[in-house]
Amino acid sequence: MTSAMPAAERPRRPPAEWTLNPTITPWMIGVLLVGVVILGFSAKRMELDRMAMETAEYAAASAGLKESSQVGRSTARFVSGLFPFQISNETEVPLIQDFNRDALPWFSHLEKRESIQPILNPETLQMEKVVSTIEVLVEPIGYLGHVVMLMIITVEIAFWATAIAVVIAIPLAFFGSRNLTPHPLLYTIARGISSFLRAMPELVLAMILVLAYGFGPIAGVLALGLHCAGFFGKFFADDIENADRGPQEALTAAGANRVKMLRYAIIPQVWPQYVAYLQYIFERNIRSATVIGLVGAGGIGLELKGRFELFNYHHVATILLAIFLTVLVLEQVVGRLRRKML
Amino acid sequence: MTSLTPADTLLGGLLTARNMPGFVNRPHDHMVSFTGVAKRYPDGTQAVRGVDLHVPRGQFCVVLGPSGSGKSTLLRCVVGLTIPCSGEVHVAGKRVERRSFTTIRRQVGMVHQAFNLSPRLDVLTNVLNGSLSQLPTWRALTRFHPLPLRRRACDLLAQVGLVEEHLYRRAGELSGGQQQRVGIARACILRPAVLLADEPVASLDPSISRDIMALLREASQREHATVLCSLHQVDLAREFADRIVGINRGALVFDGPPHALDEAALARIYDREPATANVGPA
Repeated sequence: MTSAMPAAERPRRPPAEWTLNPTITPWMIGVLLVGVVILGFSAKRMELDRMAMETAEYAAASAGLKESSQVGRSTARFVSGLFPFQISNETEVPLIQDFNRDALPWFSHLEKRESIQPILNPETLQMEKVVSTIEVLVEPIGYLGHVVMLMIITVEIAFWATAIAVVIAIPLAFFGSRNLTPHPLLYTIARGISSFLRAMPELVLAMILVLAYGFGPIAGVLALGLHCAGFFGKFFADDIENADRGPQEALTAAGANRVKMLRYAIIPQVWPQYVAYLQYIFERNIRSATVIGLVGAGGIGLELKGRFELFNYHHVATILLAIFLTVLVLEQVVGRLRRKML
Repeated sequence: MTSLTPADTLLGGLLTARNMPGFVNRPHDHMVSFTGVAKRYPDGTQAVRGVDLHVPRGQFCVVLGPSGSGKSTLLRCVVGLTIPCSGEVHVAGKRVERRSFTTIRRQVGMVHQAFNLSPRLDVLTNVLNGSLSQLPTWRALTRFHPLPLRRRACDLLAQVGLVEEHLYRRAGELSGGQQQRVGIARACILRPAVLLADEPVASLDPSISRDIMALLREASQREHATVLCSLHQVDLAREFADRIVGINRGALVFDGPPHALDEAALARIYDREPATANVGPA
C-alpha cells in the first residue's frame, strides 16, 4: 500500500492542452429538437392555440377593441350571479319537522309570505291568480352559520389529516434516508411507500375510503393524511440526507446511535424547513379538504357542489368567500405560530 | 427545561458512576496505538500509508503536517469515523472494529476542526451531547438529562471559560473561539481516557488558538487523558506537545520531542524551505 499518489503518475501536460468538455454537443441539439417537436404536438392536442385566441379576444373586449367575447360573457354571467351573498336562510314552516312555535331558534322570526300563483279554475277553465299565504321561518344569519360550521369541520379535517401525515411520515423519513436507514432494503421500501402514497390522487383515495368508512370526515382525514404522508416522507427524508454532516460525525464519534443522532444533530438543523412544510401542507389540506368533500368525505365540498349544480350562485358566493377568508386568516395564525416555533 | 424528580437524581447518580470506567486504572503500555495503518479512499487518494505510532498514557502527542497529509484520517480511525484499509488501531488495548465502536467511543472524546456543534441547539445541550453514548434512548429523545450530568456540564463550561449567560444561548450565535470551548467541554463530559483533537484551532485566529490549546492541555491534565492532536502550526506544536509526530503524504517523517524538531525535520514535513514552514496552510 505504498504506491505513489495517482496524481504523480499521470503525465503532466501544459494547461493549453488540457481537455475541456465542449459547451454544445450534438446530443444537446438533438434533445432540444425532439423536445420542441413533442411539445408542439402536445400543445396542439391541449388546444393551447384556442386558449390563446380566446384569451386574446377577451383581452381585446376588455380593452374596448371588440364588442364582446365568449369567455367574457360566460364569466360575467357567473360573477353577476354571485351577488348578493346569501346570508340568511328561509324555511317554509310546513317543511320543518317537529316545529315548535314557542321555541324558535336564536335570532329567528316567523314571517308570512304571500305568493300569487296562476291556477287553472276547473269551473271556468280560466287561469286565475290565487293569493296563497305561507309562513316561513327566517334566520337572518342562518346560512352563514351553516357555512361557518361546515368550514370548521373542513379545518378540523385538514388539521387531523396533517397530524396523521406527520405520524406516518416519521418512520418513512427515518428508514428512507440513506444516512439513517439500518438497511438498504428498508430504504427502498420506505421510499417506495412514500412514492406510492404521493402518487395516489387524494380524490381517488377519498372515493375508495368513502366506500370503506361511509360518508363523513373519516374518509377525508384518512385520504388527505395518507396522501400527505407521502409528501412528508419524501421531504423529511431528503432534508435528513442533505443535513450538514459535521454535527452528525461529532455525535457518531461520541457514540450516539441513529435515533439520538436524528434528535440532536439532524432535527435541530432541519426544523425550520420542517415547520415550513408543515405550514404549507396544512394550508394545502384546507383547500384540498373542500375539494374532497365533493365525493362525500365531509366538510364544505358537498354543499358547494350541491349549490353549484342548483345554480344557487348567491350561496356559492358565500361558500367561496368563507373558504377564502379561512385560508387567509389561518395563513396569518399559522405564520405567527411558525415564528414562535423556530 | 425538564423538572427534577428524585428518580432523576438517582438515575443520574448511577449514570455518573458508570462514567468513570475501570480501565483507567488498568495498566497498558499504550493508550492509542496504530500498527501498519493505511487508508486509500475510493477516489484513489492514498491518505495514510502504513503508519506505526504508539502513544503512551498521559502523553500530549501532536501530529504535525500540511493539510492533506493524512492527519485527520489517522485521528478518525481511532473512533471508527474512518475504517483503515489495512492495519490495526488499538485504544487502551482494545482493537477498534465495528463490534467495539460503542465501547471505544465512550472512552474517547473528540474535538473537531469545524466545531461540529448543532448550531440551533443551546450550549448546555451541545455539551450534554457528548454523553449520548451513556444516555438511554428515551432520555435522549425527551431531553431528560440527569441532573448530575447537567451539573457536570456547567462545571466544564466554567472550566473552559464560559459563563452562566452562555448556558441557553444557541451554539451558532457564539464566536468561533467560544464554540470550540463548547467543543472541548463536550469532549470531556464523560471523562475520556483519550482526547482526540482534529485541527482544533484551524479556523481560529492565533491568539485565540493559543487559549484553546491551553484549555485542551488543561482539560487533559484534569481528566488524566491522553491527547492526540493534529495541527499544522509549528509554533503551537512546539509550545504544547510532549511529543511531535511529523506526517507528510500519509507517512511518518518525524517522531520526537519538541526540541528535536529542527529545520531538517520541518523540511521533511512540509516539503519546502523551513523558513516559511511555521505559516501553515489553512
